[in-house]
Amino acid sequence: MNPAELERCMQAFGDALALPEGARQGCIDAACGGDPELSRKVRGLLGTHARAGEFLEPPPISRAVPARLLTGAAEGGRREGAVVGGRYRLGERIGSGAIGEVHAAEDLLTGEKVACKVLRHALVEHGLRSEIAALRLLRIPGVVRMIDEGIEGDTPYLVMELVTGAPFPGVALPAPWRSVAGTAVALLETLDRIHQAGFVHRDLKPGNVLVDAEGRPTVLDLGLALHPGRPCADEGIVGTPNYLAPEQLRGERATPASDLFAFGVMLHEALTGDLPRRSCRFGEAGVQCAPPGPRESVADCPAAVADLVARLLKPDAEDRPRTAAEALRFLEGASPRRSPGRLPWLGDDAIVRAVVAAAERGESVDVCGGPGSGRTRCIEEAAGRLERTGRTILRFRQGQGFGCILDAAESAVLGSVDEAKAVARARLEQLFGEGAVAFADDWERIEPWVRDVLSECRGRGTVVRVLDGTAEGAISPTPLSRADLMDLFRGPDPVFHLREHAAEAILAKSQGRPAAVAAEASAWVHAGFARWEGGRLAVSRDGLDRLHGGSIDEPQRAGGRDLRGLSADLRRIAAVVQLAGAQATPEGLAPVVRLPAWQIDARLSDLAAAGIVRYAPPGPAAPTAPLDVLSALDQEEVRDAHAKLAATLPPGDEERLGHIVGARDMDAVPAEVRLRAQRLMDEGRCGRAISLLGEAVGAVRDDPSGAPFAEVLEDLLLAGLRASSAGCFDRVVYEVEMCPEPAPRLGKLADLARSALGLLRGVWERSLVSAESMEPFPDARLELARQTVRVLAARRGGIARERAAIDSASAWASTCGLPEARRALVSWLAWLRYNEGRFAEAADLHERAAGMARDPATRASSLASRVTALMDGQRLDEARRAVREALDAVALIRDPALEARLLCMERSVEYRLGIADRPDPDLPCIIGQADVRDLEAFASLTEAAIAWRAGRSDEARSLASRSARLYMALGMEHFACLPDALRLTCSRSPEPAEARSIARRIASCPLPGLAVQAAGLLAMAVPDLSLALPTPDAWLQALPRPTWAVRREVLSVEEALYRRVERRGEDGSADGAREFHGEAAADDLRPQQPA
Amino acid sequence: MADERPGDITLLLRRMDAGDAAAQEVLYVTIQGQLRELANDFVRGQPAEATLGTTALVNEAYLRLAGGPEGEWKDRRHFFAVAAMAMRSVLVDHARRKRAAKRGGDMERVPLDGLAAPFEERAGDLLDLDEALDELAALHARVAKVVELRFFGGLTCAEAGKVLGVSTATVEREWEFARAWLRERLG
Repeated sequence: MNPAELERCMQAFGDALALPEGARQGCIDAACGGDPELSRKVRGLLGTHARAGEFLEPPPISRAVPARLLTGAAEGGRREGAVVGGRYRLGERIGSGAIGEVHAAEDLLTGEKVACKVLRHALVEHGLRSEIAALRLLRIPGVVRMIDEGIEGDTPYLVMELVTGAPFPGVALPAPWRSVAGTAVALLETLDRIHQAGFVHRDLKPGNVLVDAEGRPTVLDLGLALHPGRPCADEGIVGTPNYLAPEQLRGERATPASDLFAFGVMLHEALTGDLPRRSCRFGEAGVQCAPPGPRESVADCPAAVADLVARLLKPDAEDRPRTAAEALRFLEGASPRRSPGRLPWLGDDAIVRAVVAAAERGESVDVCGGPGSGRTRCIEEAAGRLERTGRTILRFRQGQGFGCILDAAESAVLGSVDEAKAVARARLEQLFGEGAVAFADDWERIEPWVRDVLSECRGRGTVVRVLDGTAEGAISPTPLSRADLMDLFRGPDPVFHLREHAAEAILAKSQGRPAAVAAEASAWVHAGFARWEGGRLAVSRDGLDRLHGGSIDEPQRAGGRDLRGLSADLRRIAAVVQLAGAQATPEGLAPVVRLPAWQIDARLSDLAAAGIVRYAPPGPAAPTAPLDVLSALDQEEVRDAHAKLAATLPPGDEERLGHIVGARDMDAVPAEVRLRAQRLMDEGRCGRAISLLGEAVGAVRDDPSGAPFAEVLEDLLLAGLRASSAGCFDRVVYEVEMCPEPAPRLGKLADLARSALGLLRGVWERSLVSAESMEPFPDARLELARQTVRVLAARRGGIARERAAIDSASAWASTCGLPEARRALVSWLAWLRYNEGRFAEAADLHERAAGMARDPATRASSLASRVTALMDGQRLDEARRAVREALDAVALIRDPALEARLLCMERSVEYRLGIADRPDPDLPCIIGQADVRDLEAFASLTEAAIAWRAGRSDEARSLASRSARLYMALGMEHFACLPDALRLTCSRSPEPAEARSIARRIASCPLPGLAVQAAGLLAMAVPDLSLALPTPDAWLQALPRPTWAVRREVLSVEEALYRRVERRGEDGSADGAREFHGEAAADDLRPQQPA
Repeated sequence: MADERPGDITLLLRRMDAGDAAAQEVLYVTIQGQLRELANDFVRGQPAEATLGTTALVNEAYLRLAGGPEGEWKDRRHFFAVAAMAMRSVLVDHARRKRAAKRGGDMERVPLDGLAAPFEERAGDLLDLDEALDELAALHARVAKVVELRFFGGLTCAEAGKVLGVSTATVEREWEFARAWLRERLG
């Protein structure tokens, strides 16, 4: 069809449509002028039109309506498309199990893809739900992340991170050991962490462990694992029979050993392609299992691995390895290294030197310390150094007998132990004579006959023993300090103190024990928070925050040194020491173990003598190596201990939340979180506070009519206001809207949140109207929030409105009795003065507000604002002092954004005072990492100016160019004309066309200070070009005369007017003032006479 | 807190009026961004009203961008014309990405499903519609524009007439024809 035809067609169609059906035929014929083809088309279209129904009708947009969920497997397919919790739209079913079905889903709020498990039975038991709540607060690397849970209609659901991958082991079966080694080791490490957190999976099987393309396993379905303390009789047998341990089949409670059994089955299947042979009969008398039959030998499988599998599959739980960590030790040597090489040597090497020195003197020496204390690493370092000086090293280890001094042939002919010892002794003495050094690691586990020989020879040569317990004159590695740990990390330091924070974080989790440090480092890499770079760990700021945000450090429970060898009361106290952290002093432990302090003191000393703990009063006792708490206490007692520890700590204390969670006292969590969040905000750590509060919302959401729900949301809103975080307000609105019948208190809160959101989105007028028309809040803090939103909104509307809003708020603020309100009022006034151009007053008011601040973060913020006011008032000396003061204040808190801003300002002040003579091209990048709007652009401009003054034109040009680009990318074209003008000035041959283009932009620039500078620079760059710059009277009138001599971002007004700039020559010579073209300034830039 | 420039949209609209093509481009891109954001909000259920028409959505976008109470109709008229284009572009873009994702391309976040669904319900595959509309535009530009304004912009026939500078009756005729033509074309 061509356009003309279409036109005719349309005419005919329109005419005919206007007539009733019967009359159309004639009309069509007439309109088509007898063309049958056209006639046919028109008739066809009319027919189509009649049948079109709603086709192409403009649609309304409606909110998705939650569908009622149906339970039962057959209904799985029908659930697709339903929206759960008002937020998750279910997609296709991706799995099903005994407990329920899993659908892929989409989180309509964030757009993320998630997995949603719809459960068959309601998890009615409160205890179980609190388990899940606790699980959400503890993030375990290698375990799928739980995001949300709730009830839709009468069906409960769980929302988890969507994990893709193949079921364990992720490769085709049967697989050689080397293909699965990495995955198997990672899975064991994850199991270890799960058990340490006090959970047992109960349903471990290949389908529940998905392995990604790089072989990393993720464990699923942990949220449904029961706490071992809970009876499971009413549920019957849970789990897939093939992977269940015999005790589970008998209906007994599952223990970590049951998980290990399942792992053994999985590993067996992976290596052989078959399940281990066993016959199980489910009979009247219960289940009887024959032990697994003999396996065919598997090629490519190291003996250690086969041995481990056999042990894991032992029917009696007592015969299996007790912990996943123990199982891992069996694999040592059989598994490939997972981290690239060892950790770099951290801390000082006094110990290593001591060992080496002893060897050089020919003396024997002992190194003591519990497992994981770094003792092995220490002697390895020492051995390495000695080897490099040419000495022979003899390494004695458990299980190797005299292998390092006698070879197999010699060994074979020996008939008795005494004979062997004699031969070995002689050989050893001979080697000592040649200067060899003997190292004996893990002394207590070396065979007795080897030890005898070594002990006898101690006097004849150097024997370095590594011991568990203590010994006379022994040296011990000290735990790593934070300073030592900083060397482990890479990262930019000035703004971010990344290494400090990372070192602190790893110190908290490891207590400085090298083995724990290595494990923790490996866990971070596995979880994606960090990477190895050149032998050191690079952690991102984001990674560190995620590591901390919302996760609560629960002290270790399982894994570690077995305490069963101790007497009953010592055992208990040792376990409690592990849980108590910094409270492990006699006074601190007294209420927990209920003994007088002096008795506890005595027992702690006993434990110290036995090498279990380190104890140096008045400090707390600390385990020398992690202890297996569960070998001394059962889970009830552990929770009880945590409860008592929580009770002795003041609310808001850093450790208290961990103990509350450890006690599973979920009701107490919200109040504690609120306190902790408040403390964090006072320290300036708003991000972490907000994460914690966000998690707490999930915990209290069950009872939306209760006070805790409202309180947590209120705190979240206040935190959001402090941090300018739209996410907080969004969350508040969302949570309130999800309530079926929100109380008026909540509705009002949501209104305030919407108002604040509007402010962040730029719709200030509506924000202002809504904030003004709201009824005042009875709670003073919330009322202050409302007034704040109001003032901030009014500020957008110009000075008159700002004044009006502040006036209106001041009556309330001065009488409400809330000190923060009075401070806020002073701060608002300061900004008003600033906007009025009364910079000196503004600076003073900010200083006053800083003095009235009750927490370091607020104080730092006010001091920073003061610097801005002083700079804009051109009072550079004061600004310089003020920025130093502000930087000191910021050092007390953690606010990279504020710190970056201050560094930026400090540099600019230094430039303006003329004391910055070398450009620092890396500084803008570092500042840019704080990700605050235009800071990087501004910092680049400052460095460009510094470079320019120093005579380094090329550098200046490139920095200026970068600055301009950054401003443009932010949409701040007006700011960009200054760096663009500077860039042109630094060019060897500036393009006239470009100059004109910049001149046009300057003409429309609303900021006189920038315009004057840019115009001056442009005139200096292309002096002969007539640029038709507009008269600058308006600009100059806006800039107070006394400030003309003061340097601004690049030039002072006088320099711009007279085109006379002090800068070094290109050859670096300090020439003083240099005129750019030696002539008087062009007329169009000279100020008019009347001042 | 974020910065906004209340005067810019009106300025842009005036420039567009004066024939500045670059201004139209800027406006177009800006509106697209705003629509996407608004679509997010609506999906989250932010506004108090339970249902909202396309008009309200575009109105909302205008308010946010213009930063104040509604301006003159003359300005808004242009805005709506561009907004309808932007809306179409946003939805077609979204459909294209979804199609690519099904073939195994890169999966991007697509929080616009909620917004797109009602359009798809009434017009089927938006990519096909887009193509068909382009074909129609080659044959009769204004008719295609009418569809764009009404379906993607949510304008009434009267409002569309004002935008295009023709009578309401003309718009109605062209609208009905377009529906039939497209229906036939899309099978």
